[in-house]
Amino acid sequence: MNVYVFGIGGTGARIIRSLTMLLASGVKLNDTNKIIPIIIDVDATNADTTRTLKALEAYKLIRERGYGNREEIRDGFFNANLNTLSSIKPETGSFQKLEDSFQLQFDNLETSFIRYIDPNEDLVGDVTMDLLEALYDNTPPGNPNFSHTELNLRLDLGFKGNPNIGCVVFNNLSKTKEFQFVLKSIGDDDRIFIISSIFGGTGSSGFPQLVRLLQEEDRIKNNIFGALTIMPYFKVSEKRGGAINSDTFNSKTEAALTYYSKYLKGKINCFYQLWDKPLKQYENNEGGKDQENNAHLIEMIGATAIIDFVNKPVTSLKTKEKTEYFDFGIKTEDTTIDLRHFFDATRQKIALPLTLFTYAMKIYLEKIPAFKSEAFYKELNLGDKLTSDNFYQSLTSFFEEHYKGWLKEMMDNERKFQPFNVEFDLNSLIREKPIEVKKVMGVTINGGITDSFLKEKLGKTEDELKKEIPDTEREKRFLKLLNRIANDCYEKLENMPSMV
Amino acid sequence: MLLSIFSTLYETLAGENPNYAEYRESIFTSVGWLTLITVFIISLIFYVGFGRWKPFFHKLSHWIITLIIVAILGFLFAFMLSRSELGITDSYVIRFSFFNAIYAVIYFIIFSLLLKRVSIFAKRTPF
Repeated sequence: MNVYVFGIGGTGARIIRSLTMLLASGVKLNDTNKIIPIIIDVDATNADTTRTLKALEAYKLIRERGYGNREEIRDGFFNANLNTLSSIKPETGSFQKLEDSFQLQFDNLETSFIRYIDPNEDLVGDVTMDLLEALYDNTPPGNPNFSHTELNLRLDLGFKGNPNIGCVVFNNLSKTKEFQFVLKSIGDDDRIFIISSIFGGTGSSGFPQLVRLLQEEDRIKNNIFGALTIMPYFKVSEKRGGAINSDTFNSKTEAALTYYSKYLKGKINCFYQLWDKPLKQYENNEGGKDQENNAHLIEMIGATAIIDFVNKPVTSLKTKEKTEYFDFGIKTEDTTIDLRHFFDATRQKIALPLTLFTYAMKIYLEKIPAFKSEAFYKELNLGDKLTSDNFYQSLTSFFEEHYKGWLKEMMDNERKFQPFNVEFDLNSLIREKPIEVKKVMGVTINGGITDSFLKEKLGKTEDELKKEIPDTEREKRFLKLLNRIANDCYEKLENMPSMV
Repeated sequence: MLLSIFSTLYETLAGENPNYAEYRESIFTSVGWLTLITVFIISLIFYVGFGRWKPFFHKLSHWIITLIIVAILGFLFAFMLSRSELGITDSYVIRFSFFNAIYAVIYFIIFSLLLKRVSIFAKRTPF
């Protein structure tokens, strides 16, 4: 089974970013060959999208070098075969080669809305133009500043909270070669998941259009469809003359939900919905390089919705006529959330892999470079490779910029998600569950996760792994080593923190 | 055969000593075996004992310390056994002890190359 995950707009991109982190940590996808994220964003330079694409590229490289792109790897970090559309062989017919990208590009968007509809100005003076002006030209009379009317909206920065424009543009999605490829590639058992926000422009207009375009294909309409809509969870600051106003988020959400209840009825098997009280106010940036919002807990939880959907056994799924709705709850409301707030299923399937990955991150970035004289370091040839080989460079960048950056952003956001104390030592890494250092009469009898402990475990594990994995697959051996040492650290922790 | 190997080894470097037949009769053999077995046991402890237990005595610096210990022991075995057998300490005893220290070092290097592959933490010691 393959899973196609469409992320529409900035929110879609941010949730796919979170999904990338969860999959990197080793969260399991049952019975899945490939997971194919496809980012759809008309805002070509959107910083959220750019950041997500970089994380996805790094993941793909690490997995390919580590496991050789094999589909049967089911355990450990980066085990999920997260790949691009171009890695799929279409079910029907032959097809021209696609660009190896996680993004689906619209054509001809570096223009205004009116020029997009009427590139040759054929409609000037036509009655159709009068209709368009009636629908989309909201210029106040006598106002010389036309730049923010919907008709003159630049499309390559997104729809800026105008789903009425998004619908028109999204309709042309079906003409792109990538979309045609998707229609040909989806097999009978494949699942489709669509992520969007409901308060912006790109997501709220794109979601129903995408569902319609996919289900117009007879071959696909009976496939399993899942969707995640994110309701407002942040505000933006007021900006004079700006096109985005968070005071309208709720009314737009209500309008979109009303539309969905009518026009998406009978089209989705599993519908996930998430919301949080908007506590944080972001800067009002209308797209492009400046729209880069910090990661939020809601986006991480949104990514768990994808995992939940993918892992649902076929026998448990309801038909589209009996759409199942899902939301997510935590044990108690706090301004700072950590691992204690999750219920058992999330703790086991999501929190535990994240904990292991965080241990691996700290050990890889801070400890292993200092263990140059150890045998395991030399056996893995890390001396030359850590700074020059692109597998290790990608791993460093993934841990340092992508994963650590993602954790820190969630810690800085409101509501905070702070499961780990990333700047503290390994014994104090897990928030609210420090590993105790045991002393008897001033003599340390159990120092927790010390350098000696790490050197011993790394040495012994590398010695064992070398017997199963040859020197030609050192990268695979290294990924397994990281996973095993993270598990050894977790054994010192004994179990995750829980609420009293 | 082995008896004459030790005699050959020592007399090649230290020279013959026809004044004291005890060297060929017993001293060379005893010192030779004692040195060889002791160095082998020390190598086992370094590479297999400590080297597979915990990473606390496994680096190049530790190997050099062990090498020095082995050399000292080699010297002392030859010196003490010769003195106790012959009751004298002459220049030949000193020369013999010095070259036994050299052989102890050579045995340790050879055993290091053979045993390091079964070690975990000392697998890359001395290189």
